[in-house]
Amino acid sequence: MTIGIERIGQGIWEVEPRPDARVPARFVASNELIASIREDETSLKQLQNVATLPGIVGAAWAMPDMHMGYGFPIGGVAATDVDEGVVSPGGVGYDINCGVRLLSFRLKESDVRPHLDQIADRLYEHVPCGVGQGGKVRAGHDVIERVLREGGRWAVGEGYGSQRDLDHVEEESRMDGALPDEVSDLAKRRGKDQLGTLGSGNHFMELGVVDQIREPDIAQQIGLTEGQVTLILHTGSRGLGHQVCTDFLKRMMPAMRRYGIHVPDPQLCCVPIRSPEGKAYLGAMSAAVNFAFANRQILASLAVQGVAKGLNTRADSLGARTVYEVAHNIAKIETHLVDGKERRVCVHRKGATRAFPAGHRAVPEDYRDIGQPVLIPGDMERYSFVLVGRPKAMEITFGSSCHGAGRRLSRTKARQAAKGRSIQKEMAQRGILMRAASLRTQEEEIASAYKDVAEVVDAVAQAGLSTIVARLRPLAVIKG
Amino acid sequence: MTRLESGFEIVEHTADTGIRGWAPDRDELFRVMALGLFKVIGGDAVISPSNQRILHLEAETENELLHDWLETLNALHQIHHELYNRFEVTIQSNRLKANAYGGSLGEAAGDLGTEVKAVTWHDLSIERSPDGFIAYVLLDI
Repeated sequence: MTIGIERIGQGIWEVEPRPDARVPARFVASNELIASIREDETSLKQLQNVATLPGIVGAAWAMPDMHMGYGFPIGGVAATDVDEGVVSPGGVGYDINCGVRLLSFRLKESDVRPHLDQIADRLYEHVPCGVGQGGKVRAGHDVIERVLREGGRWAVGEGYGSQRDLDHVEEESRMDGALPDEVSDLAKRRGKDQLGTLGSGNHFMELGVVDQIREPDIAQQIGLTEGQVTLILHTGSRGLGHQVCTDFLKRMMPAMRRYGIHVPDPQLCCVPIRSPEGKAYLGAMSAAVNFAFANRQILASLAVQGVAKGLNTRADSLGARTVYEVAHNIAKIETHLVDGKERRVCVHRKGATRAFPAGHRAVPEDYRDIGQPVLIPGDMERYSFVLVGRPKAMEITFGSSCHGAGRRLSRTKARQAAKGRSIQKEMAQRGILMRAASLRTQEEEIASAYKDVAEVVDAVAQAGLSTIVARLRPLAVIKG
Repeated sequence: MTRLESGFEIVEHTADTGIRGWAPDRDELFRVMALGLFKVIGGDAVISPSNQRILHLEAETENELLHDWLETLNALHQIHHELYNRFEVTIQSNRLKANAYGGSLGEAAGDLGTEVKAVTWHDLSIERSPDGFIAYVLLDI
């Protein structure tokens, strides 16, 4: 049955409510994206379900890259009152603090192009990726405890990168409130050799170049210039975070029944934020968030070393700098205006990026005049985007924007589309080198498997949530 | 009456991957679902079983037992860097005893598949019929 939707503003749509909805269910999309959202209405149904969560305020939101998730749609945003509302692991997802870091270098494309083969090889050697690949860091019990409390700060203390990196990471790379004791031994065992690993699937590392500046003044303040070499990292909390989510779904299901909460989908299971289980989940989630921060901090450092080796130079001569790092699977306690009143809420962002505007105190000082950078990776063959948050995002989506392109083909269909072709060769002919642990991944990640991320960022720009600042083009891609 | 032969198939999904398995009895169903999981993780790679892992699991429901069985195998794969390709499963009530046989990932020959983040509860099901059992799980990739 087709779910009813109605356009209620510039790029803003409302979904017909369930009878038990507590708030409206709304999403952001251009007219062009509506057809692809309609292709699988599960995400719209999941958005309707989110609107029934106890204590949800404002509206349940989904971003234009929305697609089917587990409980929440991917691209979902929900804010729940900290005193009367619930926290739901489904609103964060299995890959807790999956996120994106963008680095820039004092290099032009012409500096790296003649050495691209060498750089791609060295990056691939330096960055463990693919199924079951452990990292160089072997974290015993004491180390894991520190990582879970200190996040990226632990990694900097161990010589991976510098304090300047941390200043440009959400939460300065350390989430308060981590409770390592609430992370199971099994989760810790899964994470013990996964620090500094990329993983597989849609996780990647990409050397690229700024190929278009849309907002020159903002780009200058962020430190991006046309033709400048960049590097994007996309990964998260690895097996440790996945296990935290799995453990808490199991723990919360009976607790939810005890609290008399009924949800339309078991993956939407939730408990009151103030309950013992709610506090335990937020503590364990924050610990997993810190694990992901440390993971990306280590990977960024390894990547800079890889680029340096490929250029046969010293890492400190590259002018490597962290532009920003965002989390796009996370729940955070924030203050937002709801119906004209300030309220403390737990903002769940499942496949959505925080996008705070200029002036917000959570934005690093050197970006406070322009707004928080929002990093939106696309597929491995076309482009990615850098945006900044705008006030409208605070007004309607709890300071949130989109997070990526979103798949349009299943992995099987992508492999069929790639059959008989060498994706690696085709990309090389267009000047993009790829190193991948698996031929299967190369085929499953072809560009046509994804929506055009340009349409997604155009939609959030038209809706006023973010401003498009720059476009990045890939030069060399590392996939698991 | 024709009993089901056992087998599994990988089910297409836009963002993730499903496994549907069928078998004449529950022990066999859990065995083929494990084979499906390691088809997703191991891809076309071939291993010679040299290690054995012994599992004892207990759950309140059959669905929960299937979820925990596959989750535990995925965790063992990640912790020990092993792939498993042979399973012996015995279930009584909702108690499972199993042996999983496998080998080191480092010795796997051929193209591996993809990491599995989690076995989700989305549409997880076990259906019984006079001919046997059919199960479905969706994996977060």
